[in-house]
Amino acid sequence: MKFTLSWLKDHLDTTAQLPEILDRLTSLGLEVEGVDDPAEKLKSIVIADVVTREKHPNADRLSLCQIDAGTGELIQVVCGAPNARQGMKVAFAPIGAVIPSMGQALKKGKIRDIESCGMLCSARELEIGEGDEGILDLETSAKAGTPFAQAMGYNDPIIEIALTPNRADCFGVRGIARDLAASGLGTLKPLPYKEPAGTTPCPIQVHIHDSKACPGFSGVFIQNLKNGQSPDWVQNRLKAVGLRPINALVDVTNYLTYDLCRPLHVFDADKISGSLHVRFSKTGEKLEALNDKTYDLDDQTIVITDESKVLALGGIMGGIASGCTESTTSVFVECALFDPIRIALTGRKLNILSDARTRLERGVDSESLFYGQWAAITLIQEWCGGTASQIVMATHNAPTPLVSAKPITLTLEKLQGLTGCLILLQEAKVFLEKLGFSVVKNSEQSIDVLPPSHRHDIFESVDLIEEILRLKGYDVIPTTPLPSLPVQVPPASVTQLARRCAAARGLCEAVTWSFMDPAIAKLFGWEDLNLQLSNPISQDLSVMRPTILANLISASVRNKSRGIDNACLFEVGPQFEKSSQKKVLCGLRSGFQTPRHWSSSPRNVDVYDAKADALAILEAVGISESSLTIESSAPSYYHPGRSGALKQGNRVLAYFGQVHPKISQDLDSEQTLVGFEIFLDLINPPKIKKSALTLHPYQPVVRDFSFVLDRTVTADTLVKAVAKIDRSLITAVDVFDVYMGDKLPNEKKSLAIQVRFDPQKGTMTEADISDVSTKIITTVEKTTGGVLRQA
Amino acid sequence: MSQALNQWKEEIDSCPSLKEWEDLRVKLLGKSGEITLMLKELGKLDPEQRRTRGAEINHLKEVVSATLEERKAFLATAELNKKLQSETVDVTLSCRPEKSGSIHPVTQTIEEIVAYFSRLGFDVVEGPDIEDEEHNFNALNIPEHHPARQSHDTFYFPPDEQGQTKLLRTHTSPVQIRTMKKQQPPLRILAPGRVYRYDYDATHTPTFHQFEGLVVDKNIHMGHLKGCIEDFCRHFFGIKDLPVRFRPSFFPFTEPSAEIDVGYTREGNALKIGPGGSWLELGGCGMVHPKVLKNCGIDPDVYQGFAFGMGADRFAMLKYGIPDLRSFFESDVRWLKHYGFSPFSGS
Repeated sequence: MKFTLSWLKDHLDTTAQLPEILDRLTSLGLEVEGVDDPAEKLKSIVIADVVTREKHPNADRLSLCQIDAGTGELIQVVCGAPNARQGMKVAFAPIGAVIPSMGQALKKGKIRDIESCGMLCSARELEIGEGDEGILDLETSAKAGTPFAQAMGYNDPIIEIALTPNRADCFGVRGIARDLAASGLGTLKPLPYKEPAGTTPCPIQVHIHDSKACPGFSGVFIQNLKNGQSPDWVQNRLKAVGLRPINALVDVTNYLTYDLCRPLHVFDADKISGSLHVRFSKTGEKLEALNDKTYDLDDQTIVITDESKVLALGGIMGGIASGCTESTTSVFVECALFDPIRIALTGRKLNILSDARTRLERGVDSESLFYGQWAAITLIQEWCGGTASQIVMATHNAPTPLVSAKPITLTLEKLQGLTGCLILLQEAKVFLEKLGFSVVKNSEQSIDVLPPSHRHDIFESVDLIEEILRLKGYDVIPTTPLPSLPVQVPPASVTQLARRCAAARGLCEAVTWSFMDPAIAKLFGWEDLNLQLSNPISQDLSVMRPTILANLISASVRNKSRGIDNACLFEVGPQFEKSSQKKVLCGLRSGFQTPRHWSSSPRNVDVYDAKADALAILEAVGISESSLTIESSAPSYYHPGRSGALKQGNRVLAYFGQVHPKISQDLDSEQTLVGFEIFLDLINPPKIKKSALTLHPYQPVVRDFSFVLDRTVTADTLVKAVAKIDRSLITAVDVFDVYMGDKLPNEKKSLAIQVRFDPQKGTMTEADISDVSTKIITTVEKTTGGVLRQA
Repeated sequence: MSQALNQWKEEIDSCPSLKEWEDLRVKLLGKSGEITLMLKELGKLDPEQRRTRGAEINHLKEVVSATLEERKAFLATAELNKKLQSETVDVTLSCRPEKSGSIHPVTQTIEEIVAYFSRLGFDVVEGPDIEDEEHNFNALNIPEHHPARQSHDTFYFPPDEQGQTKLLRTHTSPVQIRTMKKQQPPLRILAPGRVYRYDYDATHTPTFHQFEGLVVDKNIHMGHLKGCIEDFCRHFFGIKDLPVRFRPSFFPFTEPSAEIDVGYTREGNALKIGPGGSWLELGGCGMVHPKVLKNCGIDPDVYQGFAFGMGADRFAMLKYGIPDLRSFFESDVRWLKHYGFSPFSGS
């Protein structure tokens, strides 16, 4: 919402200066977004007379002017504008002046060898207009040397405030003035408009077909008027708030829209046939609106029609056919109330954002049916003359009984208990009354209050409390520390531990979009249409990601294209499936795990890097490797032979593996990619308690075994089988060699393990060692079919 | 004899290596070494001579042994030094490469915020990103046609089989609703998380991060809200005298509502949070609207409280001087390493 300082002062009698007004607006909740003071940027521009104009001796298109800028001596200026002429009043920028459009101080210069001591300005150069037709040709009686801004009325600061959706009333300058006055910054002037004394009945009747859609409508017929330009001060104000003056009749409606938050419509009465009707549109009806667009209507739009055609979209925009032109001599003025929801729906559906819609969809003052109409009649008659009929109020086909407003009770206890301030009801009452509320009951402990007709956002006592606090200023609320609680600071969460572990292992945390390209999502198994947005930013951000991995792969490809090879990334965030989401830590390594280095040859990432990441992170959140089983059942976006699932019982806690080469290729990755996904929701916070540990003094024993097994037997099967034999004695089983080759049959492999015995009861004898070794060999044979390899 | 001793000492002291030293030792003290032979000769002498001669030879032997040991130690040290010298490497060569990872600045920021509020007894709660209209809007007192609903620029999903329309949460406030529906006061919760708005330009991204605080109890008033927010802002930015301003605003789910501003100054293109003439908006807050409490089954005549919501990305940008929001989501490793945090940095 924009307005000017002088406009505000039409309604507010105040001695406050601009900075104080701006501060107060913000502390009232009417946040000042900007102030544009044209006088400030035009301060060095003055009115001047062109005393003589001659042709520039060295250039055909330039002229040489002698200027009187009120300094007592003539100033020579070279001018390039074709319209410069002797006797002209011009806007003159002397040496040292800053031209608004240039932003730099003007210097003395020579143009084609002739000295020029200043500049004659155009509207564009002064940023006060668009015109390209040369320098400003001023119509003013101001003497040479008068400041331009003062002489030409550019001394009215323009203030822009951001309005919250509840403050519909402040879409009019008067509402803003009322708030300022209530807060103590001056007094609200009474409205100057009286009910006009029309003598003839209005020849046009109005019928409302649905009282919910249009609760009230006042109309008036004015004849014998002459449409023309509105007064300069009105045009200046309209221009200041960004509106284009059109003609006096249209300007009246725009002016009152901003002045009193009272959108109006003026029909050319000669173009109306018979009575007016306010009703819902019928499917198939059309209207060519004032914005030159034609709208096809459904059966949900409030329209104003005459006996034969749709004239206007009620509360949103008028139609061209019934609009006012320069030749209009009689008008019908509409001043009506509409259902805000209907206005909002229609406005959104037809995508029309008009000043009328902005106000009516938030709700206007029902009393403005009267004073708004009076204002319209007054201004039209002032600016265009004419004779007004009596005001006609519309008849309702099925009137809705008026619901009388219920008073709101505000107790002292609530007022002080919610704000923490010692505000008294007496003070509260004064504030509320200044805002137009009426206090209908008044006791020591409570007041009963009725909100004014211009406020549609007041329903209960907390709304009253906000009003009171707003006027008093939030600064009076005493800053109070929160009551302290006996707090046990919780340990780091699973997510936090996992994240810190991933970063410690050399992965950089990324944050990527939760949505992705459906073409990519399909590669990762997405098929659930419920996860596709109806209104995505773009096609490639239209599906909720079924896995984070896809985004990390794209990120690594992007990094590679910027010359950053071997990106190692992770992200913690949601993955989506059906109507549920999982919290996942997903990691990706790409390219070389160990790059070229003098100490060793480079090595590509492989599945064991991803497995190591997954196991280390699980370990960090309290899940030991020994509690996990490994299955080769990872999703299809992993390499089928180089991936696995880490399970605890039936639950998959993590997947790891090489990314399926087909997917790497489809996503344009030229590097080897390995990744992992850890499902954090399934993991409980690690236990802090430790079990008791006994350390035994007996000599540990280490023995090596080498078994020949079928290739299908996994290392895990062998290791687990051995470990299970005696968990208290066998404390470690490690594979230290894997062999497949010429010395063994095709379908066989050999796995060599080192087994460590930590005896608890006494040092092991050769016989003890031999016993357990035999047990290992027989157990392995029984569970895996493996036999001890003969050296 | 002293002549012999001098000669031997000279021989020992000039012995060049441990190998030759051993030869020398054998030559002097070995089974048929010169001194050993001299001792063997003693038997042939009469007792008087034997005693005198014996003492002399023993003395000789002691001196020779000591000299030999001394030489041996010297030679051993010299040889070790020589060996070590030959093992010299170029210590300026680079180490075996180790990857260094980092924590994203927005998660670092959220962890810092969580840590602060945890110490005040706030429980961290999370909610789903895909929400329904009930939790994201209706229960928060944002009815269907409310203008505030339009300003949220919501991402929607097509209606499901039951005709229910899901959406991506536009704020973390639905977590308030979910918590209050499950749990009666007293409540202190902090809900950080991703939120989504249909907005993508220089200063907006379609995903960003908010954190939402909620305190409900019997006597929590606006003074507590101010105290809580002021303390937090000053602690987070580490500026004891940071000006914090509360300015009336409007949110359908709080009443009275306020916008939170902090002081800043501009240094070139960069914002510097701290005492200064200008105000920067950080977030919104207010007293929980009685309708919201009622919607969650909490009696607004008994309980009241406050809620606040702020943007974690913005907090990260302001505290750590990160100029561009969009870069948060680009996963450029150079950026992640530069603006990211060590896994061992505290929160």
